[in-house]
Amino acid sequence: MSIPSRLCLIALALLGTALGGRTAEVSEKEVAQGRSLWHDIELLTIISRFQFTPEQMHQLAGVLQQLQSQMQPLRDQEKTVLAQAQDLYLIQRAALIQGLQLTPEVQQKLQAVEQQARRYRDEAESLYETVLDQITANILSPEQNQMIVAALQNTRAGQAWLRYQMEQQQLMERQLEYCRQVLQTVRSWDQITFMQRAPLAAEEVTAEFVSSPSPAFQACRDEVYRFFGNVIGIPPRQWESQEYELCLRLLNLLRSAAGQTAAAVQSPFTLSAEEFKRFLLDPATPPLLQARADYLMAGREGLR
Amino acid sequence: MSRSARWVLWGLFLGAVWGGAIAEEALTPEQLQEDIRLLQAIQKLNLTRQQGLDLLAHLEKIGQSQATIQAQEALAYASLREALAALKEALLQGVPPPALALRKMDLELGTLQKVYDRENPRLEKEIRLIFQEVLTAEQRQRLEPDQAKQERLARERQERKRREQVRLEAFTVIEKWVRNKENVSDVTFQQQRQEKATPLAIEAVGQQDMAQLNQVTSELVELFDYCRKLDDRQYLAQREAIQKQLQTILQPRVESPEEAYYIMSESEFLEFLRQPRVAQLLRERLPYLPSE
Repeated sequence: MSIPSRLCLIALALLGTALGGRTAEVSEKEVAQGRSLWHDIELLTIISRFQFTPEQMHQLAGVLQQLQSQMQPLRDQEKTVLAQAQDLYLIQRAALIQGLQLTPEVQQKLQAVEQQARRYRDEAESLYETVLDQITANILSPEQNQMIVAALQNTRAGQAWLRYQMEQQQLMERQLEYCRQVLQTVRSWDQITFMQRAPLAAEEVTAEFVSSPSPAFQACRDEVYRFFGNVIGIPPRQWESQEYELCLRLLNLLRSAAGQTAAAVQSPFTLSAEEFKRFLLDPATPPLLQARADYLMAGREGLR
Repeated sequence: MSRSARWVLWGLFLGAVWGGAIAEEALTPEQLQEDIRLLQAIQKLNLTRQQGLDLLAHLEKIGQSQATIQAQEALAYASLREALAALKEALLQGVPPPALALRKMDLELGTLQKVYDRENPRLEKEIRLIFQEVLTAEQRQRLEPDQAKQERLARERQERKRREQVRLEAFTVIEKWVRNKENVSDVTFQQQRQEKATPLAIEAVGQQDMAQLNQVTSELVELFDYCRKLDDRQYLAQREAIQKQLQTILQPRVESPEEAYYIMSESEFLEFLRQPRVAQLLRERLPYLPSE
């Protein structure tokens, strides 16, 4: 290769590196922007699922802003305490890696730091718990409270609701198992047995869910029969990977005909206590609540 | 141990020490805390060297799948910024999102879904193998079911609240004595301090563990005596410290038997397996794990 062409290649390589670096930098920024938008959408989805009124949102935004501003200094103090003990933690890290015991002196120092840090952490936690009590008692409606599963574990209403959820889940699992057994039996038949037995089987399975005689019963029975026909043609390997999905599809078909909520969409919107905590303590939550409330208020004004 | 296996271990050891030294230098306080938390979890797992090696092999596969998913997610985030902004605005206003934005999202999420469909079964398989083939029955048992953990935390929260109530009561007692110092003679104080301390201690720790009850009572009496000796100015200066001392006496942070027994909850363990840092730490820890 001649010297000028070599130089050209080097120049191209350098240019490529420089451009590549810039693209990576820009795209990192783009990714961060997209991620932050997605995060806001997740929070807004929670807000919309709770169906807050504008008044609730204003109230909640105010309470959360105050809570977060009170918790921040405590968190900063905790961080400072831990950062000041960086050397001790490096020793602890090395000991944990090597499976060694810490000397009593280091242990004592670490305990003192932990105790100091924990004091700030506990104070922040107790602030949160006080405000959470206020929110659940004074801002959220009973229906909204039911969405936070764990917050209600200590109340009678909450326990009844959890029991109901569990029963529903168990019922669905039993029904799914029933569908699986039916489909496996159907698949074990050869063509002649299928023609002899499938119509009656479709009728029996439908009768388990839908009261007969009724137009819904007949329509469902026909659909179940067609479903059986589709299922026997699936090759064993494909069946293995699709079995659960097909059982669920049969169950949905039967439950919809019976007027029950379809299994796939039956789970209600709930948040665990941890998820609700993350939602409340997210710095993006108060401004989003405020903005959503403002839009709703503006809409109300427009209607007047 | 065969000679080649020994060389492999030496290699791992040197790599770990070198890698660890580099890692330590660059760690922020937050990363250091996170490392310690993860290392404590690894320690509680009580792995043998063979288990560590097996776990590492699975974690590396999990890491690869995670990296593929994250790379595709990053592409989706970057290319969907406009559509996401439109969707956010629609959610804020409570109106249906623009059709164009939805179409773009559908398209991009379709690609992402394909990656999920391919990688998630791989992830699940690795996780299943860790449960079935790497962990022993005892280790599996020491992963706390999520529901049980939620219930335990709720119980502990109630207990904390109760003890906080006792602390406030004890503080009110001290404040009253300080305010009425002149009106309470030493003899009356000597009588009252024990009369007050015992029921407060019973309220805080119960009567089952007598040694603990006696300890808390005597620490309370000691604190009451100390406060009695302070003049107004000294008391005001130390008011904050006294509250904290009460907290230490009545609300000590003691690890519950469940907390000590369980390594972590089941869902925390799943999250733990998906943390890329765990593989790095395990690599560092591996040369020091016991062979049996």
